[in-house]
Amino acid sequence: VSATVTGASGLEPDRRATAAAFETFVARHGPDLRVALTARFGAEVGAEVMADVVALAWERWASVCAMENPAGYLFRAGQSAARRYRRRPVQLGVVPSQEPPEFDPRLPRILEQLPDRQRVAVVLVCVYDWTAPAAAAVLGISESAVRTHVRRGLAALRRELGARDK
Amino acid sequence: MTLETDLRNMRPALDRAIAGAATVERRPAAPRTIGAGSRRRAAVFAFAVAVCVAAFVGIVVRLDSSSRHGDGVPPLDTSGVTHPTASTTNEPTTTTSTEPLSTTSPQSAVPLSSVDWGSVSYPIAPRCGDVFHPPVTVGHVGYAAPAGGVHLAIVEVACTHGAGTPPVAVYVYDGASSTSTPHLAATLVAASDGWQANALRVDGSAVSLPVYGFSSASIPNCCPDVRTTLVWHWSGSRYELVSAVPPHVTRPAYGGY
Repeated sequence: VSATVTGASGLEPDRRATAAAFETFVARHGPDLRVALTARFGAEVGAEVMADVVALAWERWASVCAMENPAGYLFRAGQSAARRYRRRPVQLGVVPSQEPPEFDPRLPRILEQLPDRQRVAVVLVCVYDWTAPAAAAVLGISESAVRTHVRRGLAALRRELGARDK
Repeated sequence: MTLETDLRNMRPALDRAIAGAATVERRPAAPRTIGAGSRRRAAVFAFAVAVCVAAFVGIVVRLDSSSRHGDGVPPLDTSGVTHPTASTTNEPTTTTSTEPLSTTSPQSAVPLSSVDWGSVSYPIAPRCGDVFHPPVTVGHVGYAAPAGGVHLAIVEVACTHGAGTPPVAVYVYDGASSTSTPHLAATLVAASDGWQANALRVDGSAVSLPVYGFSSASIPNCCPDVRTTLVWHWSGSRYELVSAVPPHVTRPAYGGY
């Protein structure tokens, strides 16, 4: 019997490759997912849910990495994970910092009060310039539904801003 | 400014909000109570309760056993044993016996194959996790006759612990005066070496043991990152370690002081 030494030290090659693939996944999909979760749940809860879904992705990495639309899966998983947090009004945490302001300072507050789907669609498409197909993939709805939510959301924003102007 | 322009201009402020929220420490456990209704947390809680109950039962059993022995702990037979040096550094440990084995079994009133290995008192580390003088679980037992007249039993044991994977110890016995008092001839692996293993193999004059360990104390218990196979060859009078021992650390919780 000859001496057999398998792997002197450090991570095993399989685990190293898995960790690298996961880091690549998070770097690629993490920012978009964080934006979508923030638009859906607000900045604070969105960050909490983001941490939860990243942990979930690692836990179920074998199946997540094989998905066609992992970001969409994790966004939906985030909606389940968010149930553990107390229900509270969505707060985007947006604070205008320049004078004159870059945008109507009333806008964040009105945006927070939109229905969830309209707010998410408006943030993704109008604030972050996502295409309707990209937003539809993450939100798990059709492209036409995204456009409808954006249209209705913008109409509600105009209506509310106009009403407050009067 | 149009509404669309306002929304687009809001992006830097929203980015700042996202970045700020991501760096804020996560909220404490208020929403993470069992009452909040997470099945996963409930399962973890149930597991923790089960571990506590098991640990309590283990302590009670141990105390009961100790009281029957009178002095608390049965005496350990360490005659003829050469313990590898315990290490808490990255230096490789020496897991080989240095004392030649007798070519005739010194205490052969009972054949080794009839020894009840579960009732033997092993010189394993005095501490296993938070349990001192823990009960021992016998893993694999292999018998070898590497030379004429030499009959050996190689026994892999580990302390019984409520959770986690304790390190193993591997002992070589060359005879037995009764079914519960074999003669310890050598220690191939001590618990203080910090190796996890469960697949001892005795093949003729060779003994091999795939082991797992930790390259540093910061490696989580779940995921040992050092793997190797320790191999000993019969040199005519003793088992000699012929494989390399990669650097690894021992866990003080398991006696690796």
